[in-house]
Amino acid sequence: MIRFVIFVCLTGFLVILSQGPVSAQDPAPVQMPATTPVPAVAKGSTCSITSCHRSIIGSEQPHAPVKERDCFACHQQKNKVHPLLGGKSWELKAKVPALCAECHDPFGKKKVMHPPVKEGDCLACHKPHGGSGRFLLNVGEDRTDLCLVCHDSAPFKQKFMHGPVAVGACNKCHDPHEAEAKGLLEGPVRNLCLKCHADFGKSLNESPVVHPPVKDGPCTACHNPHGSPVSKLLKKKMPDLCVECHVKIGKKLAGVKVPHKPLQQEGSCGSCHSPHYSQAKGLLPFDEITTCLRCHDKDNLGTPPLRNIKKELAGKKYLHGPIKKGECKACHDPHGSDNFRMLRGSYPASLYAPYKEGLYDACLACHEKNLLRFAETTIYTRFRNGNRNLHYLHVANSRKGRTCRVCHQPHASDGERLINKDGASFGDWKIPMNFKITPTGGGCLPGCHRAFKYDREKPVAY
Amino acid sequence: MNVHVKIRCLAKVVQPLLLVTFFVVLLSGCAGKTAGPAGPVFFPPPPDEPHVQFLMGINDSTDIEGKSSKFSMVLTGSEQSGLIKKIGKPYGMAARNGKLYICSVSGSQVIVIDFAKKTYDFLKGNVRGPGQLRSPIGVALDKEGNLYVADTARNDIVVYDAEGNYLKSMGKTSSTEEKKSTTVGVAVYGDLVYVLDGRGSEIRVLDRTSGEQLRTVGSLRTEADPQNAVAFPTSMTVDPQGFIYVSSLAKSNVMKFDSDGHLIFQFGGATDTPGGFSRPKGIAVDDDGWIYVADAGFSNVQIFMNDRKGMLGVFGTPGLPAGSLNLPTGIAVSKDNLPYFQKLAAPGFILEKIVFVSNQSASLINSTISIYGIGAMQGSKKGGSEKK
Repeated sequence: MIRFVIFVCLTGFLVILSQGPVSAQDPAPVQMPATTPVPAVAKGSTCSITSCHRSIIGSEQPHAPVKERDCFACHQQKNKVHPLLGGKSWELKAKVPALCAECHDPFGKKKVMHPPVKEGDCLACHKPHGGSGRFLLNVGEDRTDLCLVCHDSAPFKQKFMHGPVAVGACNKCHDPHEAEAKGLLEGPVRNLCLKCHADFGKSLNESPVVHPPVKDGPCTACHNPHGSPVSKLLKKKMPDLCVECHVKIGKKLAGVKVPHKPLQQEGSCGSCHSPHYSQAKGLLPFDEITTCLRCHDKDNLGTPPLRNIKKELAGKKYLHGPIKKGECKACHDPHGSDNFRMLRGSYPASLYAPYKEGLYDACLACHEKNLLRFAETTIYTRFRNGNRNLHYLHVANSRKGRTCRVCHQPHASDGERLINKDGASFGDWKIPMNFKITPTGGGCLPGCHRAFKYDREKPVAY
Repeated sequence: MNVHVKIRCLAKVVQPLLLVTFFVVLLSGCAGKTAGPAGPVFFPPPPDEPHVQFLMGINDSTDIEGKSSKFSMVLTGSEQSGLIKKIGKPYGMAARNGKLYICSVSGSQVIVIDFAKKTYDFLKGNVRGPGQLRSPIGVALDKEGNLYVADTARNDIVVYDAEGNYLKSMGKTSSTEEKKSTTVGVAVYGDLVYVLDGRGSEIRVLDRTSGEQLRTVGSLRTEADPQNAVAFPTSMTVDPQGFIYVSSLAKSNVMKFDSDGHLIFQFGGATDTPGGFSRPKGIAVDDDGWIYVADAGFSNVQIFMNDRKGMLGVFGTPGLPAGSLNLPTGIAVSKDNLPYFQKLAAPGFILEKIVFVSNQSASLINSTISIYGIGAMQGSKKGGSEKK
């Protein structure tokens, strides 16, 4: 220990001698000529050799001049006395960021600058002598701790986090110094996203139907790029997010009496629609009827269970016109409606409902509007005995008007004109129809009444 | 200077002025031409999106045949008297196969205009004899091109073939019924001829071949509920589906019947709000189902949708330097000859239909027949029948 003290004193004495006599009263710094070459060994290696500034070279990722022990790259001596009690005998060669710009390219060439960069405060993020991580940062590849020193941490602590955010790779999307795009993004949002989501981009380009915001707009129109309490990083839960643009549907959903159940469930709009792109119209994952039958192919859907439409359609000889075209929405509003079974027009929920104007709009929107208006007609139906309108007879009966479903199937049937060949459901019983068509009329022997025939040209007398 | 001298001096100055004024008035009156519009006349007017444009007017044969004489026989003598054929008090009209058929009530003529061929002719079979017309008021064609003319003075329907030769008469009422009946209109659909009886307030349905009366429709005499009957009807048409449309003066409304005689709907009423009528006269329905009603009281034409969902627009309103109507009576709509009329349309205004309206009175700013084009500006999102 004594030997070590003697060694330090001797060394200090030798240093003072080498610097020449310095007056204690006049500690004027000795200016090193800028052009004077300094031998490598003399650049400052002694600063860190001694224990005085040894910690400076201790960084895992030292600044290049530090690594080369070139303290003079940044510092210059203003006083020969060093260490100088009560004063500093060394100073930076220039102020930051001018000093940094002597080696590093200066910033300010792009539209958007990180505020510390703009203010020239490089040391807000960087450690000048070296850090534990790359780029003179005192963080590793997870930059969360560094960035959140200034930035609000709330958006980065959500239930659902964007992958790069979760691992603190802020610089995957943001340039920490300056950028042309808002938010210091490395490029336009859509391009930036597709850099990683390349598979998505490939499918997008190959899809015939693309959601317009996806086609042209930024992904951030719907997604929060950092994190969200909602799955898929959505800004809001569906359908609230969707109805911000789809205002009419939003208004409808707000007051609809018979909603489509999936809309109220977790999948919501996404239950039926692909939000980004699809092969089918309306951003449906499949053609319309296939999409609907993905759910309506069960015997236990809903309470009480809805009909298994897939089973009803299978192998049937006659399909309702819209179904033949693969359309369900011709009759049903897939978002919900105020009518029974989400029909687009009114239709009675009960088996019996005498005709009155508007009550059968669901059917009469396509079928002859005047079908049920007149007891006598030569125009509106072929189901008549002479001019006697037998549709009117059945449905406009004020005591017991039969709804269309008593005789007809709405979706498909093996009977011509969608007549219920297997019989209409009547509680436990399937009422047989035994309906037959002739060139000028027809007849039936249902479980409702005795056998009747009708003839348009030669009316049958009953 | 005494008073008499003063008067004489004044007379010397005024006399030549009066003479010049007389000739100016005479020349302009004889010319019979209406003033042309300074620019395109659109309905509705700017800044609204235009849907109807006034295209041209017809007063006489020179407007079609293009003969240059603007002088009547008053000035030029007899050598040109045969060149100019005027339209006297037009009423009912029909447009079919590129031709326009105009009933000239006071002229006792049916004028046949072929726009493509630029011909303007009187009906060939309208000559002394059983085919001579007295007061033709309505005209219709059947699928073979035969012409059915309702003559209110003869009180029957006079039938001509497609060449204009007289064929037969039908719909004459018995002498006892004669006093209760006035034939004011005719329409044809399939094998049926509908005769509009103004005084009798009903539509008589005739067999097209035999002329036998089959039934009546909307009869004020026989309908249990007068609300379901026409009342002093003035005009009638049939749409492509066979529905009958009638305008009634006493009800100031329009009624739609099916061929069984059921009232499908009625609209209008004596009101000056849009959709109401004062004196509804000519009525037409186009292939898209739009209903056009010419109103002699309001001097306009209102267009309605056929599903009672509302009104589409109005045109021909009075007070314009050109394109206004004056006591409109008959109306006809056609999609024929669109290239012919497109040349008259404003640049960029694409025509879809042509509407012909007859005016009882022509003036310096009104033609006897006013022709309008229905369409939309190129690239416009609104308007056009495809948007109906």
